Amino acid sequence: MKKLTLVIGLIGSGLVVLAALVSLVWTPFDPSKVSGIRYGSLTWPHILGTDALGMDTASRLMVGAQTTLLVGILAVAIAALIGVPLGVFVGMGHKTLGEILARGSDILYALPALLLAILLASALGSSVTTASIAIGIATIPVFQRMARASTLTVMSQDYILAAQVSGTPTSVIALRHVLPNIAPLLGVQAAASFSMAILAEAGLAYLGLSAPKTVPTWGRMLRDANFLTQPMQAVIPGIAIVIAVMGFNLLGDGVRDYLDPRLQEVR
Amino acid sequence: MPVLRAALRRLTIFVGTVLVASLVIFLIIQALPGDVAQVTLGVGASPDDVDALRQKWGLDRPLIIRYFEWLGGMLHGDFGASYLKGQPVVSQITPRLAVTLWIVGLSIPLSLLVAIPMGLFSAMMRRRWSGALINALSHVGLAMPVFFLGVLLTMVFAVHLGWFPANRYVPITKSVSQWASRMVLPVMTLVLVQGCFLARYVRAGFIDVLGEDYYRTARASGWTKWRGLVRHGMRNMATSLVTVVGLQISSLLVGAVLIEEVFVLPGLGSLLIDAVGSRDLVVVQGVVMLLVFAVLLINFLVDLAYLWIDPRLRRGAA
Repeated sequence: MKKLTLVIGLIGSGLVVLAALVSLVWTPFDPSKVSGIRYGSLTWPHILGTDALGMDTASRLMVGAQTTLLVGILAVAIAALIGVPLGVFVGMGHKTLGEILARGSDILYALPALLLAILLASALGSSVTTASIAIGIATIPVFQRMARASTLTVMSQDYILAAQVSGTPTSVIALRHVLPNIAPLLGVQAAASFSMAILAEAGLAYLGLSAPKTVPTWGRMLRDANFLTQPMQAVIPGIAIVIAVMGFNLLGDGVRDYLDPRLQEVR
Repeated sequence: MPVLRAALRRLTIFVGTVLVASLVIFLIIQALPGDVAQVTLGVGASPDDVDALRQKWGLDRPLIIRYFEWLGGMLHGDFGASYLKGQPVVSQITPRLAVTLWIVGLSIPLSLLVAIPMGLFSAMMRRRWSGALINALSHVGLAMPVFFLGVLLTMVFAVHLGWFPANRYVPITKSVSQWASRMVLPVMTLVLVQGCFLARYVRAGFIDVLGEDYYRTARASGWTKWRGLVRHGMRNMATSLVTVVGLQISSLLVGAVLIEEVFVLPGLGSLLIDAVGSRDLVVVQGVVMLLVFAVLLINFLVDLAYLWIDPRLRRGAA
């Protein structure tokens, strides 16, 4: 059962990464050029059909994987690079600052990511970057809380006391003792946040608040599909989103179970 | 009265946060690029005309005065008037708020009705294939975008089977039966996705209870597994569930916009997106403030709910 989680996760996320990598050098057709008849059915050579303009769906799906991964990476990087230092900082002391940050992160945590994305898109124009930034900012509290909680656990260990007594500077303790110890948990969190970011971006793309029409994204493909005449053109990108989100989610779960047997369920 | 003091403390924090949030929202909206007067008159307008319009709308007065006017107006239900359409923001918000509130208000209780039995069952049966199946199902539901499920349900129930209409929204005041037939699919979509999401928390909560001493004592004194879980598990699970449900309501108030898009429902989220598109900043400001207020209010109510659920908090602490 535990292994199954990891295996399904690896297959799902692996498929997405593979599609994105292959699309960098090869796609069946040019994804941004009309290459077949409009509303083509699922027949060779357009194995996944063509869209309303006659562009090849398989090629667009592959290029869409790039956008999906890019948003995930950007959003998680923003959230982790801001959230983790704040969390460690607060976890290692700094009471007043901690209280202020906790309040701030409470508000940010309660603010729907979508609201942030709509506002940001209206200020900066909608693009993959604004979508990633909005999702990233909304995810900061998740990393901050997790980093703070695990830092507190590490700080109560004897080796930290030993380091403090022997006069090790706080910054060195943070970098050499705290960060390496909380890294595995944060890595698992990153996988979970990655999959949530993919889901959020798909929603934004569906609303037209992410990449412009010229860049293929799965959410946008689903929106542009006419599901009355061409149901498969809506189903295909939808399934791609489900595979990606589930893949990274299960990957995180699987790695967590593998890393930390204590988290195993009670009998 | 420690309970009252704790409740008062939370009320103070709530009011303070609302005030800070209102100032932040006001400043952000003012800082957004794009002068509404310029946008209205077009790029070719003369600077004099633009200035005149700014003066007419009162945009030339100091920020601080405009902030307090806005804040004071909201206290007696006046959110200002839209620059573009001239009509009060409130009259635009009210009918749309009703749509969103119906969707959210119906789907949250119903998704709990799905999630609690589902989570309880998959916790009890987690060593059997039936429990694993339910758990796997909730994993798929977790990864399912609401707009995709909405499209799928429309394809099956509206297009293929023809059970429900898929066309424009009818207000409940016009025809209850037509309104209801148009609410089934959107609410069903949200219930399925939210149900799967909440079921995972319910499952984890019940599994925690299985490892507790009080549960073992209950079992040893002859209670059945189910009775032990339901009688002891519910309240212990409730605290974490209340938090998650609170967060779900806040995210749904805005997140409902995806469902509104799929099913062409005129809700609050679509009003916000339209207003952002047309740079109708008074409307944007009003809707955002309303949403943020709702989110903070829910957080406040969740805090109060803790006091009610968890007797330990009532005895003075926090």
